[in-house]
Amino acid sequence: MPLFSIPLSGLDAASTAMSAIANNIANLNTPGYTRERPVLQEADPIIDNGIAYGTGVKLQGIESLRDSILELQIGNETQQQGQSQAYVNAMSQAQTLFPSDSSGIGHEISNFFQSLNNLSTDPSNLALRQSVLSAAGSLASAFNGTANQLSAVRSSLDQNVQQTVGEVNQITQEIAGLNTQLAGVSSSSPGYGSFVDQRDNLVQKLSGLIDVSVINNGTSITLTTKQGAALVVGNQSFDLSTALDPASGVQHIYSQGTDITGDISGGQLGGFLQARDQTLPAMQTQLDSLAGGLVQALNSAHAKGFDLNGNAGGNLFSPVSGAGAAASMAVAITDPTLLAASSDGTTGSNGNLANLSAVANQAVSNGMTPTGAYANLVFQVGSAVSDGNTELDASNTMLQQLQQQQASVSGVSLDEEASNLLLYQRAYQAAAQAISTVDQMLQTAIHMGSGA
Amino acid sequence: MRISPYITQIELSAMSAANQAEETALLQLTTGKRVNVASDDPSAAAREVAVSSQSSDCDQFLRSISSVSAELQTADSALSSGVTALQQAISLGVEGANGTLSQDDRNALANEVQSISQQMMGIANLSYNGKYVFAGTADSQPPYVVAAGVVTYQGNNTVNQVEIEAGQTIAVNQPGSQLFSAAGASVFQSLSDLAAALQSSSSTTDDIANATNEVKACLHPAQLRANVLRQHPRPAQCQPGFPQQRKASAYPADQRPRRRGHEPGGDQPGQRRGRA
Repeated sequence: MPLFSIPLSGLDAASTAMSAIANNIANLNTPGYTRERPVLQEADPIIDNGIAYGTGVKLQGIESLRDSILELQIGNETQQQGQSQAYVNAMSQAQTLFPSDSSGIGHEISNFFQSLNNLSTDPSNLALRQSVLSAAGSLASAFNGTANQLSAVRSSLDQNVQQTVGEVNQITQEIAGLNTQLAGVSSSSPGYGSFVDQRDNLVQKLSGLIDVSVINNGTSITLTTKQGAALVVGNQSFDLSTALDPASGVQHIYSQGTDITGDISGGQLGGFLQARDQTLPAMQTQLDSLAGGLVQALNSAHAKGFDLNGNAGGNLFSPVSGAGAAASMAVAITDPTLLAASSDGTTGSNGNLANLSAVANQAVSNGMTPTGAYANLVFQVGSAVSDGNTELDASNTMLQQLQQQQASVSGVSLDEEASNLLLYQRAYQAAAQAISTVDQMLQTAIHMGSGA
Repeated sequence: MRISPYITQIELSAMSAANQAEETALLQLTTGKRVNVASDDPSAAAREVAVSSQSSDCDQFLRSISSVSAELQTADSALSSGVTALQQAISLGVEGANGTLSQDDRNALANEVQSISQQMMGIANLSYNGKYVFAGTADSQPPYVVAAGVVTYQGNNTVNQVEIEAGQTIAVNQPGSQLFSAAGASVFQSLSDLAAALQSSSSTTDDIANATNEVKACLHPAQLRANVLRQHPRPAQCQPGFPQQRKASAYPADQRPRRRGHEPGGDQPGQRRGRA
């Protein structure tokens, strides 16, 4: 006799639904929370004499409303955003080393050539000669400082890479743990959704750090990098490790013994690696080429002249070339009389200063004049940052749209919950009323025989 | 589509974008620069490197001009008085060629010519700041020495050039060999010839006139040189109208390059003022 059990199932369903609603409301502001809803189904009917009687409602479970395609897109965009953000941060640090106004290498280059022009008005004046040597010293130390700071930016990026790898390992371990837990929980059981939410949250965090491919196999997920290096398989996580690469002097990343440094292109790690292994070394090379070219051109111009003692000019700068030229640039002479200003050995001649000044308009590095080569560096670092910013803005907008879409599927809306709350409250009341009505009917039936 | 409860996030990011725009505008306002870091406009920043180098080059050119102009001015006024002295010698010669003069008168004229020759020696060996102005680049010793009555030039013929504008140079010295002892126009030789012609009782008026012409020939290079020095160098790209002269425009345009004092001739300053 289903007279009691039918409304009872209604009471059950309504109260379970209420608990789902209460959970939604409670998690209104929980990041990564996916709204849940009860899945109700008609209970199997009883057939008696060819008539089918309904037996009430059956609670199938509680489902989380998620859109896996959106989640995938968000993951990809998060990788892009993490990459751009890290790259922009790194390059912004480098950018401050290449000022375009009255400081830095560009300023010292023009200062040096101006000091030559100043000396040409009175070539035997020791004070003016000394000021040329100090301008040369400032030029060398501007190169030294910029090169050293560029290396410092690179090595701080190197530390960031190591830290990020540590974070990646921690997250993959947590995800593997959740995979284990989820394997033991049925997908219809309450609480399943919150485990999945936690795991999705972690996957998104991981996407911000490194490029991730997600393969969903039922209850557990497999994570690899875009190039296929395993991160999490089932309940097993695979740690990445770092080790110093002797050739490049920076930390390389290994997955189970394989060097995957060059494969990582997304997430923070991708951004750090792009700045550390591509953009900054390219700038360092150009800076070295500028320093080497300038030193060589100035030395060869200097050697054409004669110093105050009538001797042929030696090196003005210690000869440097190739990698490390900028960092090791140094003035070779300290005695102002050794500056070869004269073109004929007489003390009053300023002829060789014109040779030295002419270097300002000579191609010293990649076909560019000293100031031109420096301006090119300023342009490169500036456009690296501004391109990065443009990409970052685009990813931010895209990510915002995707998150908005995701929220419209998975987010908790208080209005909706309020109306559902009323709905199930009424359903509960009605089911209770049905029970009390049946109770009254039974009482009537019991009292019928007592001859009231 | 359900209404997104994510709306606060969007508002937040719009607000932070507005804040950022305000910050950028304030930075531009306080620095007075549109490009504060290279990423604001990379190509403008690259141009700024070149322009700020050019602009400080201009300052240096102006400094160089003012320091060479002092030396040029000294040389110029020395040459001017040299020209006056030679003209005086010429008029002495013309006077001497007058047949009515007695030998005593001619001797007196010859003495004057000799003193002019000494004056010219003083001018030719002029030193400025410890350097001999007309010695070429061998300027640590006097260019002209007299040994046993013979004047010898021991300077050289080298001319120093100073860049006073990108790619444009000016000669800042003139070797004495081109001024006082040029081929066929030696000041000291001609003056001593003139004095000898005046002193000698056997010279005819023609001899004296010829000797005078010799001196006249010397006037030419010296005068020419004085004219060269009167031309005022002023870097074209440092003119007030030159684009993007940020630094230069810090002071009023009418006070700028002219005030840095490069009027090497020091003559007729009022004439220049009309141009500004």
